[in-house]
Formats: sequence, C-alpha cells, structure tokens
Amino acid sequence: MENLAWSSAQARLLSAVAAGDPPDVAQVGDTDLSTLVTLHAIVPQRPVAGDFFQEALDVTRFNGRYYGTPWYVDTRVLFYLPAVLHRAGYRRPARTWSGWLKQLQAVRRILKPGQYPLLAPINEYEFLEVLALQEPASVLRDGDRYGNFASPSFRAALRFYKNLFAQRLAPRITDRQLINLWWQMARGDFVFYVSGPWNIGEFRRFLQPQDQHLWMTAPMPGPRGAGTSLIDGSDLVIFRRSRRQPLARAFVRYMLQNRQQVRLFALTGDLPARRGPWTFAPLATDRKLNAFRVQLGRVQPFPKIPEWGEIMHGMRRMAEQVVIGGVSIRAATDQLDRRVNYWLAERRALLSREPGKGRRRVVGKQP
Amino acid sequence: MKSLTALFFILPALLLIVLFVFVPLIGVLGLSMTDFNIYSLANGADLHFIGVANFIHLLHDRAAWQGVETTMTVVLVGVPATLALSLICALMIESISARWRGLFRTAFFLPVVCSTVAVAISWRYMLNTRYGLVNRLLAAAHLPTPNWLGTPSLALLAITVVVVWKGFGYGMIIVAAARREIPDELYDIARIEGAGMMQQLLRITVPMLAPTLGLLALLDAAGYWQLFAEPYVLTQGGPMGSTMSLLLLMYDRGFRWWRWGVASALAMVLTVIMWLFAWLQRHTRAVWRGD
Repeated sequence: MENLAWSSAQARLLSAVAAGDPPDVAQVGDTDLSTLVTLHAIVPQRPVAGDFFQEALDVTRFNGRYYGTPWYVDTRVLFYLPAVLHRAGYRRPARTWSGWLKQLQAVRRILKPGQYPLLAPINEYEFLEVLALQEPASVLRDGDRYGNFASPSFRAALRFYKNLFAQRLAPRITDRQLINLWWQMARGDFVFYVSGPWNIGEFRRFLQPQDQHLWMTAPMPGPRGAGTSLIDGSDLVIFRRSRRQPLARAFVRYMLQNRQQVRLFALTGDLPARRGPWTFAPLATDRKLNAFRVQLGRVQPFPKIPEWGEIMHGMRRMAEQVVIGGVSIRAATDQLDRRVNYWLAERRALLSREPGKGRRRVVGKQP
Repeated sequence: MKSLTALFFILPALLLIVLFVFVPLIGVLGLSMTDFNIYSLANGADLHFIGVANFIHLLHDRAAWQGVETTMTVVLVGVPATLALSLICALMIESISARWRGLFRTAFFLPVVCSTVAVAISWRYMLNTRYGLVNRLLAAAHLPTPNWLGTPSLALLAITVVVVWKGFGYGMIIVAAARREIPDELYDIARIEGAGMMQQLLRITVPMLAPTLGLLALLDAAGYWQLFAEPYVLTQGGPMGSTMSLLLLMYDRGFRWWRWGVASALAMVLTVIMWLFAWLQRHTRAVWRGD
C-alpha cells in the first residue's frame, strides 16, 4: 500500500495509468472517478451491499454500471459555535438563507475586532458549489454540454455569496492564511464554517477534551427552507490492469464490512457509505453526526464529467473577481459561461460524433 | 586516438544529457503541436496534430499573459533587489572584523540552503493577517496591518520579498569573493589621490565587480523566470491569479486539468526564454572578457 497526499493523488494515479502500471485497488475521490472511467482504466463492480446511500452509489454509475464501491461519503454542513450563537440571541442555526444572514449580522455585533461570523476561504469552491446546487440545473445545461452560470438561480446564489463579504460577515482570506483553523475557531475568530466530516476528527484532535463543547454541527440552510448540500466521497476502484481481480474484489468486500467501516470512522471521522455501520456506536450515538445524517438525506450530486474539477476551479476564480476584484455578477457569470463552453468543446464533439467516424478537430480561442 | 579517448570520457555524460534532456525536449515539442488531453489518453484516435494552434491559443489566453506579467514583475523587481542586497551585504561582511564575518556570512547564506517549501511555509505564518509576526510588528508601530496574501498587489510583493530573501545570500558569496580579487593597490592609490569612500565604491568597486554582477543578474533572472514553489505554497497562484507564474500555470494546465498539449506549448515558450538567457550569458561574458 502506498499513501498519497490527497492534493497530488489524482496526478500520481493518472501518471501510473498513463504509464500502464496502476495499482490493483485505489481509493479515489468522486470527482476523479469520471476521469478514470473515461480512460477505461477501471472495471465495473457489483455493489457489495444493499444499504449504500443511494446518491453515493449513483455517483459511481456510468452507462448503467457501477465503477466503484463507495467507501466513505462526504457532504458539507455548518460547523458553528453554539455559545456565541446563543449570546447573539439564537438557539440554533437558521434553516433559510435570510434567517442565517440575520444570525450572522447579529453575531457580528457581539464579536471583537478581527473576528468574523463566517469563514468562507475564497480559494475553496465547495461553499459556493453548495449554494449553487440548491437549484440542480443552475450551473450546466443540455446534458452538461454548456455552462449555465448566467442562470437566475446561480446569480442569486452568487449574490448571496458576494453579500457575505460585502457586509464583512466573512473575511476575504484563503485557507492558506489560517494558522490553525480549529484553534482559531475555538477562540471565536470564526463562528460558522461550512465544511465536511473530516473536520469532526480534526476538531477532536486539535481541541482539548474540555473544549469539545465549544463546537457543533447543523444542516445547511437553503434559499427557501432546509438546504441541499453536495455529495462527495471516495470510492474503492479496481484497475483493469490488475492481475489479481478476485483478490481485489475480496479486499473491497472486506473494507466495506461494518467492523472496518466503523473503524474507519473512529480513525479518521470519515462517514461510512453504507447505512449499516451507522447503527453501531459511536456512529449511532454521536450527537455531532446528526447534522450529517440529516444532510445526507438531502444531497445533490454534481455532474459526472472529467471537466468538473476545472469548471469548479474556474467558478472559484470568477467568484474571486466578484468578491475582491469588483467585477459585476452579470459580467463575471457571462464570462465564466464562455470559458466553460470552451472547456466543454471537446466533450460536445465526442458526444456528437457518429460512431465510426473521426472526431472533428476542436481548436478554438479561449475567451 | 586522442579524440577517441575524449569521446570515451564525454560519452556517459552525453548519453545522460541526450536521454534526459534532448529526448524529453523533442517529446514536448511534439506534444505541443497536438491536442493531447484526457480524452486522447483514453483513446489514441482522439489525438490530433494541430500545428501551432496551441501557440496561437496561448497568444489569446489572458491567463498566459497574466502569467508573463507576473513572472516579469518578479524578475524586474527581484533581480535588481537581489543584486543590491548581495552587493551591500558582501561589502559589509568584507569590511567588518573577521570575528563576526563568519556569523553574518552564515546568517545571510542560510536561506539559500534551506528547503524552499519549508521557507515558504514559515513565511506563510509570518505573513498571517491576524497572528503573523509582520503584522504584529506593524501593529506595535501603529501602522496599518494589510491582508498580505489576500490582496493581489501585496501578494506578489510578498512573494518577491520571499524570493529575494531566499536568493541574495548566494550572490553575496560570489560578490564577496570577487571583491577580494580587486587589488588593494587600486584603493591605496585612490586614497592617496584623495578619493572618498563613495568615490572608491563607484569608481573602483562597482566597475571591477561589473562582470560578476552581470553574470549574477542573468543567473538570477533565469532562476526567477522559473518561479514555482513560492507561489505554489504561499498562494496557489491567487488571489485573482495575481501570483500565477508561468511555470505554475503550466503545472495547472498539465497536471491538474490534463491539457498537456497547451501545457507543452507553454513549456516550449519557457524553454525558448531560457535559451535566450543562456545565449545572453555566453555572449555578454565574451564582451566582458574583451573577446
């Protein structure tokens, strides 16, 4: 087994595939799965259990076959400081955007200078992605062939996002400008942060036992009511080149057993992709997991295309221009659509190609 | 016979250079004229020769031009700053007593031998808006405490400072060595003729060091054109692409978004720029030697 850093794992795996020397089994992120499927690098698997979170299983499905076994699921929820929210006059986080906005404003009034109600690092796209996913068709259209960022629903999400910075409810910083997120949050530097399950483990690791009551989780608010969140996660895939397919499949089955899934959670805080392990302690008893349990019932998968990573990266850069560059939402989203359409040109050409005929060349200027 | 022996000695190095420099270079040149991307990796039939389309694409690519601007800024600001600092520190350590010389020389040279990534991470902490050393000092002096790595113009400035701080020690050692080569008689004569410190510096030291400084300028410029690790660790090219150097852009295009065709074209552009520097270095050295 080889440990790879998450940030470079994708590039390393891809290099191994290109070199014709992949491992037997790998854990890959949902975002990268479509890339490996496009490359015909991995083989379909039969689901090893019947109790997967449906959306997690759907993520691995391409052309009616399952190309990975969901191992852990990931969604984004609110991490927050209950005591500070309480002091601002609220018992629990709001369920709607407008209610949440009021809470953030109320929290700001009781904070010290330099502290902010919300941490939304401008180099992380997931928060804006969650805001955008509230309306499923808001970012891509026509079978993921064209960008749809100029849609009213995405513009509304972006307006809400921009407003958080304009009202100084969130600092214009990147996650690289944090010293230690968990320590800073415990000090009250940030009261809300939208993040994923691994931070449950990190908060427990970085904060003293007596400080564990300082933080809590809650489901995402939405534009008109309880919000939708993204579903991400990682899957165990088996490579086509592997010469030990039966052994690889046995290994995947082993890793998905209740015992291993509960152990995975205990070690990392990563959430099991099957519902079964959720009925065991500590998963069944952990109050801080409730938000995730609720949120996993209200998730929206992202488009399964290899270009998704690049598109989200482009969206983040566009949002930076709006938040710190002073570019108008209208101009920024129009521009992003043009860029996304360029990135998807190859995909459109492939989809429109008639079988047996060569693809026409795609050469265009990047807007 | 003689040339055969020479060939025998050159061969191992030559083979390695051909294998690891020229073969990949020709490969990259080839790739830069294709549309190689994730789909063509899946299916070789999707790979097409597209001539110079990638280069034309780069001409119209705003991000590429921003990369050129960013990298040029670091070169144009960083190189003179590095040279000035190298010169000042070299003259300083040469003029202080031998007892302290070693200490200062080591202190100034230390950043050069430190791992770039470790250095960049330390700077990331020092430049932290709320807890960083830099802003704490500024706050103590009742000065504004800017958001260093979150503001486009300041982020590039911060990166340039880190790059200069990391690199000037190397130049300092070279300049100090060159300074020792200047005959003492020149200074003796100058003093007898009544030249002051400033005149000695401008009329003897700087002219005598000019070839060394020129060489250093070229080496530094060539190094700064390949700026990568500092922005990669400190800012990832942000905010708003303000610290996206050409090399970082190439990495992004190639290894994050698998547009190897375009990335290879960028690599070729960088290679040509580097060749230009190598040619300049050879050429100017000949001029200085009086050939």
